[in-house]
Amino acid sequence: MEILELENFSFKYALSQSNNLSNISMAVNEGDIILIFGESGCGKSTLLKCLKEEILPVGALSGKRNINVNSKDIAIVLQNIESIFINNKVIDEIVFQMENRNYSKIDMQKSLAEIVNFFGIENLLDRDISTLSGGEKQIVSICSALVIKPKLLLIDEPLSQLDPIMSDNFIRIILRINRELGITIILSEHKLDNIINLCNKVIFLNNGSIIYNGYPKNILTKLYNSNIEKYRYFIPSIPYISLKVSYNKKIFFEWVELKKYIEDKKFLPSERIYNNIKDNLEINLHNIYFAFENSTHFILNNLNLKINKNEKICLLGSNGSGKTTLLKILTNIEKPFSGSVKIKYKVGYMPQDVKTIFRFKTVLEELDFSSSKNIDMNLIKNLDIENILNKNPLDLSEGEMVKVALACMIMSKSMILLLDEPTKGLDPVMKNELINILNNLNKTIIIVTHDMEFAVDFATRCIMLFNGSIILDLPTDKFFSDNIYYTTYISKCFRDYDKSILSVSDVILDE
Amino acid sequence: MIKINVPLNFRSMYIMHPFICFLYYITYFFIICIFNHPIIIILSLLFSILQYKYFLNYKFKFYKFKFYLIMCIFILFTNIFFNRRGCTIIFYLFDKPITFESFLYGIYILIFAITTFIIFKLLDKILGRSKILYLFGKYFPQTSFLLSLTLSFFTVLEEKARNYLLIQKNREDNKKISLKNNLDIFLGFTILSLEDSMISAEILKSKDYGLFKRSSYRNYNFKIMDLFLTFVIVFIIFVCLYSKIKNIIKYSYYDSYKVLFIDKNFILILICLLIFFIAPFLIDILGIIKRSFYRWKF
Repeated sequence: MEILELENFSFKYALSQSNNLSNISMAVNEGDIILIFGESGCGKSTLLKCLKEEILPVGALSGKRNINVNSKDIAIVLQNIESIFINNKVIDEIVFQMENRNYSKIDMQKSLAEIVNFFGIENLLDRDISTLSGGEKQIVSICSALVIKPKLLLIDEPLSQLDPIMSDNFIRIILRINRELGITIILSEHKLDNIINLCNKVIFLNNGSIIYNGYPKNILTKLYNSNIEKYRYFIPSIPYISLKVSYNKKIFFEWVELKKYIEDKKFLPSERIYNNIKDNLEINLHNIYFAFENSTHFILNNLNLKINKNEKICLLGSNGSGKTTLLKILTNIEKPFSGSVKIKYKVGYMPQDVKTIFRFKTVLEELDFSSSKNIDMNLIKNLDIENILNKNPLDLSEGEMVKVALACMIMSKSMILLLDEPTKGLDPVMKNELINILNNLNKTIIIVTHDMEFAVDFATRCIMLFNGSIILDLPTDKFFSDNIYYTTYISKCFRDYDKSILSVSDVILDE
Repeated sequence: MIKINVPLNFRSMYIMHPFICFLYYITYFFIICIFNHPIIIILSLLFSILQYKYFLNYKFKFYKFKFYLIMCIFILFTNIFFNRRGCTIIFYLFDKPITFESFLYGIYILIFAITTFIIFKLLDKILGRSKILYLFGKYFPQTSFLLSLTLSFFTVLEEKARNYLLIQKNREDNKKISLKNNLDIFLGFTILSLEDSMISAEILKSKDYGLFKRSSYRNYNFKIMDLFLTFVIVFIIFVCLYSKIKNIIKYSYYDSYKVLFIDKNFILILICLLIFFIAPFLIDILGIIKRSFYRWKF
């Protein structure tokens, strides 16, 4: 049964000069899982919002928009997990929509018990939402959407802030929701690695228009064969390598399948050279302890860290392991309970919630202020923000906000840059551009990320935090070749063959 | 100092019926609005700080108060320099008289502002959005959402403003921020707060808030402690109105400050107010005594 059909559907925001969505034609059948992907700001979130009557953005619509499901049966989980909760307690948040729909107490209890048991989150019910990790918040947001038993679930970039293990668990949950509860799911995402093979259909958007729409394998092949080179960046690593190395263009989604296929092939070993300067100490943290007020445990527990000039470092670890807190201590936003912090130069900090960076009315004013009126036009071009210079930064999409915040950071005079999740909301093309830009900067850069592929290509040194302490501090190649879970899919696939192969760019056939 | 050993979430105001809790803090605000007597306003401040510490488990740290200290000095000096009323002139500044009365009144306004801030923060933290929507969401969905936003404004203002200010300071090249930059930061923060409110409103719409008649998952029953506090609240409202009508407690800062006059009636009203201020603590102490008695008996 077709539950949704758009034909030549277009949408223009009230103050926009051109269409934000143009000629969208798509159909969704009951039980589908549909993935929407594309460049940052291409209209993914707008398209999702256009499917739910109550939050339809203000603007002009045209074309056919047939939604054969009652709007009451459509649930949406919006982007930006930090600001989507209305209540303070988990239990209040989950029952909130049922209360709004005047459910009886018995019905609410029944639905609550069912959903809580399904996801196994009994232990979270009485907790304050502010104390949950990113992954837990994501699960609570899904629970609060599912509790009304929707027929169609819309999810906007659910994996952007989850660590690899949480991401895997979350994808499994999405699959269970679809298979066991029969709920149709439409989601938008940039991290396609594990999710694309679960979808019936994928939609590739560019500049508000559908470029490709169809089965995952067909779309990935089309992207690979496209004349537009940047489209290839959107292909996840394992399918990309399988398309690259197989003569009949066979696509594998799982690294285990690809591993079997490449057994008889030969690859050149990767040569990564890291120029670490060991004698120019810029940051020295000694015996750092940190705990939040009223908290019974330390977020940072006897942490010691030395960072030299021009080092490019990635901080990795599960949600809630203390990575962001460490950056805040380096920026002096939080003060350690005990221990010493010595930093030689001025620090520039890009927080996870990038909105807090902005204070002016236009992007241009922001850049003007950060660069002390010495704007680097090349950087603006490379980050692809030329067209949004006169817009209000708060009106931009999440990915565009990140790009503007990054431009502000890079243009500032700070010699040390601390970037918290800078790849959040960025498309793969931009991520690649960012790696080039950051690697050519003569600054010390510390990045908190969950994106393993990004860390491999950017960092010279990777640090893993666990329970508030550093448990692993190694050069990037050694870090990823040794890890089992915290590593790239390419490393998992090639580790028995050659441990030095870590990312897509390392895979070169020896012909 | 006496320590009341009750877990935070089980302290009296948290387990009280939301309506009574709401009524208590509104009455508290009512008291500081109708009495401008220095002793009453100082006592109101002291007990509000005690409640703040007890119900929010707050640990006072100086660096958190820098922002408020600046605000306090600003309020105080604005009144001193721009209010010409009062007849006890301390000195002349640029030919303008600076009066002792305006200084006293400035302190009164300052204490009033701090106490109001604390009361609304307590109300927001103890009730939370879910209890406010439980109380008023059924019949006034839009108004109750606005009320919860207004209440959380005090809390959000403190937490978000600190974070925002530190991030913005980090963007500055110089440690000293110019007046223009300060204004830009203030405007930026105001727009960001409005933007966050709009996101909240969008989420409420996506969750069907205000479309149907609202039900409630939690049931709050009237307990003996609710009755006790209701009695105290009603009693104090009568006492306040009576003293206002009979003009028992009167104090004026202008034209010349008055010497404090304490009589029998004043002391009686003061005792009533003290009972009101300590009632939440009293409920917890009575609870501890009751539990100890049962433990001793069985």
